[in-house]
Amino acid sequence: MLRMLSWRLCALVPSIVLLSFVVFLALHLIPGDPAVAYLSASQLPITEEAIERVTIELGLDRTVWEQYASWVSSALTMDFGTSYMTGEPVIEEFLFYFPATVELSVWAFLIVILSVIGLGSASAYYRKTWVDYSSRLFSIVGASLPSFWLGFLLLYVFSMSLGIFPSGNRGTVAHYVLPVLTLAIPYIAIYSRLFRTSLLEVEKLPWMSHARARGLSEKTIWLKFQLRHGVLALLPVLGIVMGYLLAGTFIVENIFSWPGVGRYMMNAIVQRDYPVIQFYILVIACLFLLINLIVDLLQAWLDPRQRHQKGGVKHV
Amino acid sequence: MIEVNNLAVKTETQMLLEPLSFCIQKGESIGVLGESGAGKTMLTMALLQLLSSPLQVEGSVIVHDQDLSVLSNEQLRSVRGNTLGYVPQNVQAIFDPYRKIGVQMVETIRAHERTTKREAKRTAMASLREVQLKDEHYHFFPFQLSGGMLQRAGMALVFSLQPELVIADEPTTALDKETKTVILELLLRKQREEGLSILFVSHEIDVIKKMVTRILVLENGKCVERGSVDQLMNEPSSDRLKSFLHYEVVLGRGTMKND
Repeated sequence: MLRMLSWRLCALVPSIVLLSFVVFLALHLIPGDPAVAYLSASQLPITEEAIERVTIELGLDRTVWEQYASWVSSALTMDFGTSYMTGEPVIEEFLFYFPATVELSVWAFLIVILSVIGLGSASAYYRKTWVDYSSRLFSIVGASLPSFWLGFLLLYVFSMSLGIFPSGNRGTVAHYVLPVLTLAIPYIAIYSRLFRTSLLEVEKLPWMSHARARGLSEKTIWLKFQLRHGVLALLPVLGIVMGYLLAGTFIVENIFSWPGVGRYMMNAIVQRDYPVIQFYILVIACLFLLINLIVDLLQAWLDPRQRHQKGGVKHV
Repeated sequence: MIEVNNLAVKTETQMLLEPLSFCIQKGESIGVLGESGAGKTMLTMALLQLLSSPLQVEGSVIVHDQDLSVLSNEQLRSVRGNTLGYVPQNVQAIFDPYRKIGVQMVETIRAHERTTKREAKRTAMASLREVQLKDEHYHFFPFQLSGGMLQRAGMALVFSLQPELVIADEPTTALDKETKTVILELLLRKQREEGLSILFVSHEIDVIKKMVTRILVLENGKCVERGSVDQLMNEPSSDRLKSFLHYEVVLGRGTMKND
C-alpha cells in the first residue's frame, strides 16, 4: 500500500510537467495576439508602439521554449503572473474566488452521492415497479436537460414565480439550493441508473446465492453484500464526478451570479486574460489528477485483495 | 427428514427438471449422479427454494412436516443453513471476497442463534479446527486461502450451524486427494455420530460409492434410474449409467463389478 502511494506520488510529477507544457502550448496556438489582448483587457489604446512595448514587456518576442522556461521558473516560486484585467497576481485572485466554487461543488457532490445511492437502491430494490419506472423517467429527463436551461427553469419557477429561493448571490442556506440542484441533477440522473445496474450486477455474483443458502436475512444481504459492493463499484465514478463538478461550475455560477472561479474564468475568457486562463486550466487538471489518486488509494484501501497484495498477511 | 414430491423446474416454454420424488431419512445419504448439465445443481437450488423468475418451481419439499414451497422468505431463512446446510461446487461462491472468513462465520451463526459475538467466535473457531484449519484462518480473507482450504472453511461454516441435512453439490470435484479425504471423512463421521443426512451430488463414481447407499441418476433434467449402490453398480439398466461406469473404468476410478 505504501509502495503504491509513493509510486503514484512520483508518477504525478511527470504528469504535471507534461500537463503544464501542453496547457502552455495550447494557449500559444490559439489565434490572436496576447499583446493586443493585454492592451484591450487593461483598457489601454491599441497602437503599434503600445503593441511593440507590451510584446517586449511580456517577453512575447522570445521563443516558446524560453517563455515556457521563464513561466515554469516563476511558477516554482508560486508566481503565476498577473491578470491582464486587474493587474493583480493570478494566484491571489484565484484563491479569493475558489472557496465559493469549492463550497458549491462539495454540496452538490454530497447531494449527488446521497441521491444516487438512495434513488439507485430504491429502483434496484423495487425493480420493475412504479418506483423504478419513475426513477427511469427522472433520469431520462434529468440527463437530457442542458444545465443552462435547467438553471433558468429552476430560477423561473422557484425564484421568480414562487419566490421561495433567492435568484442569485451567496449568503444564506436558501442561496445554495438552486445552484446546487442545477449542478447536481444531471449527475444524479445519469449515475443513479448506473448504480442501479451495478447493484443488479452484484445480485448475480456467486456468493450472493450462497449468502441466502446459509440463511442470512435479506437486510444483511442487502446492506453487507449488495450495497457495499455496489458502492465500491461506484467509487471511481464518484471521483470523476467531483472533478467535473469543480470544473463545471461555469454556467451555474453565471446563471446564479455566484462569486466563484467559474464566473471569474468566464470573464477571463471573454477578455482573453491569458495568465488567468492558463492558471485555471492547470489547477483544474491538477485537481483531476489528485482526485483520481485519492480515489485509487481509497479503492485499494477498501479492497482487501489490493491491500494485502505485497508483504501483507502471510499464507499459512 | 426430507420428502420431495414431484419437484420440477421449468420456464414458460421448457421443462428443465422433470418431476422427481424421493425422500431421505435421518442419518441416510443418497447420491445424485449425472454429467454436467444434467440438472444436478438445479435440483439442489430447487430444494433450497433459491430459484427465481423466470424459473418456476413446482412440487413440494417437506422438511419436518413443513412444505418449504409455501413458506415466507423469513421462515425459509431459518430452515436454510440451520436445517439444510449447503456446500457449493464453486469454492469461490462460498464467501464474500471482501470480508474476513471469521466475520462471515460469526454473522451466519448469529443469524440463526441468539448468542454473543464471543460465543459465536468460539463456535466458528471450533468448526475451523474440526476441518483441520487453524485458529488464525479465522482472520483470513477468502483470497488468502487455497481452493482446498476454502472448501474446508465452507464446510466449517456449514457445520457451525449443526444442520440436519447437508446438500453437497460436487464438494470435492476440484480438490486434491488429501482435502478430498478430509471432507469426505468429516461428512461420514458426522453421519455416524450425529445422524446427519446427506444429499451428495457428484459425477465421480468412486466418491459416490464411498458416501451413499442409494443413487438417483439424472440425464437432461430427468431421473433415468434409481436404486441402491450395489444394485446399480452391478446391473446398470440405463445407457447413461452404463456409459458412465464404462468411462470411470477407462479413467481408472471405478470397476464394473463389485470391487
